[in-house]
Order: sequence, then C-alpha cells, then structure tokens
Amino acid sequence: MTGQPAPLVTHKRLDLYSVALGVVFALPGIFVVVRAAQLSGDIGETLSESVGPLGRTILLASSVAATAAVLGTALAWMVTRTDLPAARTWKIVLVLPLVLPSFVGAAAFLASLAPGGLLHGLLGLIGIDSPRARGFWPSWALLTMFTYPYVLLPVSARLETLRPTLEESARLLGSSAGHTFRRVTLPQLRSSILASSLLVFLYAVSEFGAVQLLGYDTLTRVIFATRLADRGTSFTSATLLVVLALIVVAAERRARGGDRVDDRARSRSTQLVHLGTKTPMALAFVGSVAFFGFVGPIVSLIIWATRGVLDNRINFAALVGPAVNTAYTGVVTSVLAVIMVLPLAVLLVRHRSRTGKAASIAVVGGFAVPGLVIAISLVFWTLNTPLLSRLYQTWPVLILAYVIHFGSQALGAAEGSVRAVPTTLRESSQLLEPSLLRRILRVDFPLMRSGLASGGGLVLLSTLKELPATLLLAPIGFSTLATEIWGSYEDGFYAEVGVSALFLVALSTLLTWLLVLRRAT
Amino acid sequence: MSLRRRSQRPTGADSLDVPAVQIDAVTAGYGGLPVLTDATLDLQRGETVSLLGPSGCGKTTLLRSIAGLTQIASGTVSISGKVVSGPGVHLAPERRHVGMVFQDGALFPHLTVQENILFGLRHHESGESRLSDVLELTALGDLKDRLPGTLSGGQQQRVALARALAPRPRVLLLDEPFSALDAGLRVQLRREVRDILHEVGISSIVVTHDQDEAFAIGDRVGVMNKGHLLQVGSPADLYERPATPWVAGFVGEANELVGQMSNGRVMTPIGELPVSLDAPDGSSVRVVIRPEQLAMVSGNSSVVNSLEYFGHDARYEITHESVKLGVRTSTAHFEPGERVDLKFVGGIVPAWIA
Repeated sequence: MTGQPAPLVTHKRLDLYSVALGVVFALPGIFVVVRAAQLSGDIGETLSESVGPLGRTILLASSVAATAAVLGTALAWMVTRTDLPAARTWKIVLVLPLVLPSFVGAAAFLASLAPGGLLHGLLGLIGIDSPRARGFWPSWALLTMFTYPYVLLPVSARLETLRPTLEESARLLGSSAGHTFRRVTLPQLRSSILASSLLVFLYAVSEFGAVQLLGYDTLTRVIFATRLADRGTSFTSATLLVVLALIVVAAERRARGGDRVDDRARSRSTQLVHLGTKTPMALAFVGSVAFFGFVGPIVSLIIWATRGVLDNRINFAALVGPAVNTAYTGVVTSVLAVIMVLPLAVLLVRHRSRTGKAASIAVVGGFAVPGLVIAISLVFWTLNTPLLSRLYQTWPVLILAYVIHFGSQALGAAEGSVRAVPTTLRESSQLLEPSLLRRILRVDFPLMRSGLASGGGLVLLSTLKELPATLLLAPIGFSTLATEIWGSYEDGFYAEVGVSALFLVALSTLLTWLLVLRRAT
Repeated sequence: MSLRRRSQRPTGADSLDVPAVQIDAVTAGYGGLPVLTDATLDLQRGETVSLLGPSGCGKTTLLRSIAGLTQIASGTVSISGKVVSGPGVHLAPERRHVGMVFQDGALFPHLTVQENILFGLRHHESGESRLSDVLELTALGDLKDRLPGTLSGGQQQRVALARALAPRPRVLLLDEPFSALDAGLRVQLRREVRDILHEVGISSIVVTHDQDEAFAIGDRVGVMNKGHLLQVGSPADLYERPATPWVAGFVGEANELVGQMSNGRVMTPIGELPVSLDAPDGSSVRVVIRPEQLAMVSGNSSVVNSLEYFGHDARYEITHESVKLGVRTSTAHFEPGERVDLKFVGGIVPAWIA
C-alpha cells in the first residue's frame, strides 16, 4: 500500500474506454471498405471507372495544397516580418475566409457571375460577358482562396515564435533579406508548412459542395451521384477516399515528427523588413486576396440579399427554424465531442499509453475521412442492421456523424487542457485539499476551462458549416442553415442564398472572433 | 612608416590611427522612448571593451546600433572611419562587416557546424581554408559535422564565435555570450574567448551584466545605467576612481559614508580619511570605502553581525554606530557577537560633494 490515494479513474478503465472510442471513430471507414468488397461484383471494372475521378481529386487537392502553401506562407511573412501598413488589421482580415463555408463561397461566386450579380456588373462595365465558371480552374482558385488561412495561421504563429537572432545572424553574416528567408527562415517553417498543406490537401479531397456547384467531377461528386443507383461505384470511390485520407494522415504524422521544437522564448520583436517603394504593390496583393477571399463573396451575398429584402421575397420566419436547428445541433455536438474525447486526452497526456495512441489515430482518422463518406457509411449501416434501421435519418445518428468527423478538433484542445494541470500542481493541491470534488472544481476545472471551450468552439464552428453529411443524414423536414442555402441555390433563389448565408457567416464570425482571434491578440 | 602601413592595409580608412568604431552622441530607442541617451565611445583597433550595466540599461541597444539592427534617433556610428549610422544614413547590417555572437548562440539548427561557419563565407574565394583556420582556432575540428542541437551550450557558443570570426569582420560584438552557461563553464569559456580575441587581434565589444566578467575580458570597461554611458576606463580606474557613487557600488561592494571636510580630510564616523577632493572646510562629503580597505581589531566601538567564509578570505558584516558596514579580510578571525574596533587600511578613497 503506497501513500498515494487511488485515482478517480484507473488506467485500465481509461484504456478500455479508449478502445471503445477508437472503434466508434474507425467504424465508418472500416464499414465502407468491407461494404465495397461485398458490393462490387467486378472490382476491376469499378476501379477503372474510378481512375478518372481519382486522378481529378488528386490533381485538384495537390494543386490547391501547393498554392495555399505558397499564398499562406507569403502572407504570413508579409504580416509578421515586413512593415506592411496596418499589418495587425490585415492579420485578422486575412483569416476571415475561414468563416465562409467553401460551398457558400462557390455559390456567392456563381451568383455574382449571374445576370444582376457583382462580377457580372463589373465585367459588363468593361464590355465582357461573364465566363462560364466550371471545371478545374475555378475549383482550384476558389478552394485556394478558402484554404490558405489553414497555412497562414500556423506559419505566422511559427514565425512569431522563431528566435529573431537567427535571422539577425544571417544578415550580419552578409545575407540579403531574400537569401536569409530562403536559407534560414524557410527551413524553420518547413514542417509547419508541410503539415498545414497536408491538412489543406485533406480538406480539398473531402470537398463536396464547391466542386458540385462548379461541376468538377471528383470522387465526392461521384459518390453523391451514384449513392442510390450504383452502390458498387459509390462504395469503391468512398474506399479510395478512405485510403487517400489514411495516406495523408500518415504523412502528416511524419511531417510533425520532424518539427524542431524551439522553446527558447523570444525576447523582443524582430526588426521588420522595410518594404519601401514596394509598399503599394504589397498592399494591392493583400488587398486583392482579402477581396477575393472575403469581401467579394460577402458583397455579392449582400447584393442578392438586399434585392430579395427590397422585393419582399424573403420569408424570415422560415429561416428561424433552420437557424435554431443549426445552433442547438452544433452546441450538442460540441459538448458531446469534448466529453467523449476528454478521457482519451487524460490517458494520452498522463499515462502515455499505447492503446491511447492507437485510439487517437482512429479519432484523427475520423477527421480525415470525408463527411460524405461517414454519412453514406452510417446510412447503409443503419439501413442494413435489423435492429438499427429505425435510427435511419434520425437526429442521434446525425450527431454521431458530426462527433466522429470533428472529434479530433476537440482532442487536440483537450490534450492541451489536461497538460494545463501539471502533475506537481495536482500533487500540491492534493496535499492542501483533501476533497476530490473541491479539487476538481477549484483547481482542475478553472485551468482546463479555456482549453476545453476552445476545443468545443472549433467543433461548433465546423458543425455549423457542414453540408454533405447533413444532406444525407438529416431527418425528413429537418434543415440547417447550410442545407437551406444549398436548397435555395439549387432552386435558383439567390436572394434566399444571400440571406441565409449572411446569417451563417455572422454566426461563425462571432464564434471565430470569440475563439480564435480574441486569444491571438 | 606610412609606406609600410599602406602596403599592409590597402584601404586608407582602415589605417591604424582610425578607431575601429566611433560612437558619437548616439541616442536610440523603440517607439519614442529613448533606451540609449547621448552615448559616446571610441573602440581602438585590437581593443576589447566590456559594456557593463544592469538589465535594461541600454547596453544591448548600443550593441545593436553598431550592428545596424536598431535604427538610431540621433548621433553617428562610424566603423573604420566610415559613417554607417547617422542623419540620413543607415547602412544595412549585411554590409557593415560586423560579426556578432548572441546570448543564445543563434546557430542555424538545420545546418551542421561546418555549414554554419561557411554561411558567411559564400563570397570569399578562400572559404575552405578559412574554415579550417577558424575550426583550429576554436578547437572545433572534431565537431564540424554535428548539428547544433547535439552540442553542449559551451560548444555552441564556440561555434557561434567561429562563425562570426570566419568572414574577418572589422569588429566583433558579443551580446551576453556566456550568460546561458553554468557558472564553472562560464569562467572557463570566457578565458578561452579572451585568448582567442587577443590571438586574432580583433576589435571587440562584449556586453555583460556580470562585473567579474566585464573586468576579466575587457581592456576597458564602460559602465551604463538607465540609457547613459556613465564612465569608460580600465578596470582599475573604475574600481578605484569611480565617476559616481552608483558606479562605485555597481563595480564592487561599497561602504558609503557621509562626513565633513576638514583640512583636506573627511571626518567620518569611523575616523579621518584622506581624500583628493577640492572642497571647502565644513562641506558635506560622500565617500566610498571598499570592504578590503577596512580592518578589525578587538575593541568596543562596533559589533560583528555575521560572517561569510570563502576560504581565501571572509566577509564580515559590522554595525558601527547604527551604520552597517562590510569588511573583507583574510587575516583576522571573529565570531558573530564579538565587539571590535574598525580601522582604515589605506588606499584611494573616492569622494563627492554631497
């Protein structure tokens, strides 16, 4: 008998729980693969049919990842390392495209090209007809504009924690600003650029709404189109996506492993690179990125929304239901996701268990597998399991899909929260306060609160914007803002698209501000 | 003589009589508040000057102004007679031919020792032979293929020194180069570095907040406080003839006393002290006595409060007429509580009109 009091939950119970959690998160992926094997009579034929969409998916995802990496890194460097005017404001503005779901961005873009739209009007002024925006190029450009912040955020964070003396040493040894960036700064950013562009790759691979609207045949589009009529093709394509996602996750873990942690704190700010005569050019560059990524789409939505409101064509009462649905579904999902992953986070941080590691890979895998694939997996799983068929298109299954897809976002934050209460602190509070409950309320919870809230917030934000899983799994008559926007667009009601999209953007801007930007400053 | 000098140094600006660095009335600061006010200092060729001061005194800002890493607000900085910072002039750091060793070493973590040293030698034709020269100078030959992350703190600073010396800079700046190391290693490395600087004959400025270090490595020492360069002189000058009571206290332990002037001597609570101060009789004077300028004999006027024993000597804390004084001696032995008399041993007593 040692002097230590028994822990609240034993290591073994945590292990068991983590195994169960890992199974839940891995199930959709496994189910898709098994089902594909059962369904397709002639694997060779379905595979050869999938080669085209697979190629297009990889082409789109790698192009988007490459351009997002370049754009995100360049912008990160400009806002952290140069004397760009109003750099602090740009830093916030340039992250804003994150609040726009990419399918809303695509809808806004297409609506602005339609007669009466923003770009249509602007192009008309110089006597040009709106081009037909379809296929690879518009999809690539659009996805780049909505994904570069995933690179910008981690890379500028890394730039800000980098010791300034490295760059100063290089300058004193005779390097120009450009040579210093290439030889000294870039190698320090390598792993965060690599990891974040893999994330963008993953995002582009699972993208459904934007490519559907822009008519570029990727695997997700094939899955959606064939999900009822040709299940073999649908599941084979889904399997390809799962494999692709797993490869990317493995690559991401390796990229992260190569990260050199530099824990020496920065003492003072770096001397900024003087842009001088290049300032107007730099301003034009960040300005046009902000315009295409955020201002343009928003203005386009506002134009259509205003038009609808002025014509009295908007039924605001009909929007209340979807808005309420969106909000409480999001809140329930985020709370549930945090509660579900917290024990795993405890296991990972305090016990460094192998089981925990394996379970965490399954949780991350849930994020990598596209929402559409999770959705069709759950659809067929509920329909084909005798006792569960009553769950088909019910709210709990929708929530389950969200939790599986977005749980990993809560896991990272939960691990941070557990780490916020170091062992020495728990031990010293144990010596001062015998009651476990009071310890949790007075020590653990206050320290973990902000981390858990931000993890829950990330899940909430993602849930608000989710489209394909909601389309497939939502109960009959249950609509969210995202599905409302989708439906209105398909029916050609641009004014309604504008109003509901602005609603959604306002909601997610508020959340992003609360969770991301307010902390950053 | 002038012919010979020209053949050694083709550029006139580098001739021996021009100081390596001239700092003339430099004021600098971040965002309006001056961190450095009106600093003036000449660094002679081949000389090492230590800049000593508490943290935040502006010594690092002065160093960064020379390197061109900080823009100065007024005054001029010249290197080898050429103005590099001044009104309307700011030569980029990479064009100043200045070497710098940072507190954290700032080695490029993705490059080997050898690649770090070669970094500044890209445009030198004799890069490889220069590399082997500095590797030998700093005794780093065995480590040349290692990555910085695998080196100890002392080794990293030697690489940083080698890297800074490799391109033969006109002046070498060292910013708290030993402060990240533990005590024993710090003393050893600072001796090595001092020998290397002398061997190379380079002009250098070392910033430190450690008085021992400043005195050990600098031919001259500049003492700074609150943005002002208060005094520049040899270590003995600073210790024996400090410009202000603050300098006296910063470069060593100082017993500060106030007394009255009388016939060229100062009457203090511990007796009459000789001073070289031109002040009228009866005026109030502040004097500084070093602990080793006092000795103790058994007596009655003072009491021993405490003692710190160091082996080579011991430091006593004495109360004399409610004034606390420090005494350092290697001869006498007293225990706390014993009563003693103090006497002045001799030496220079710095004094100021109070």
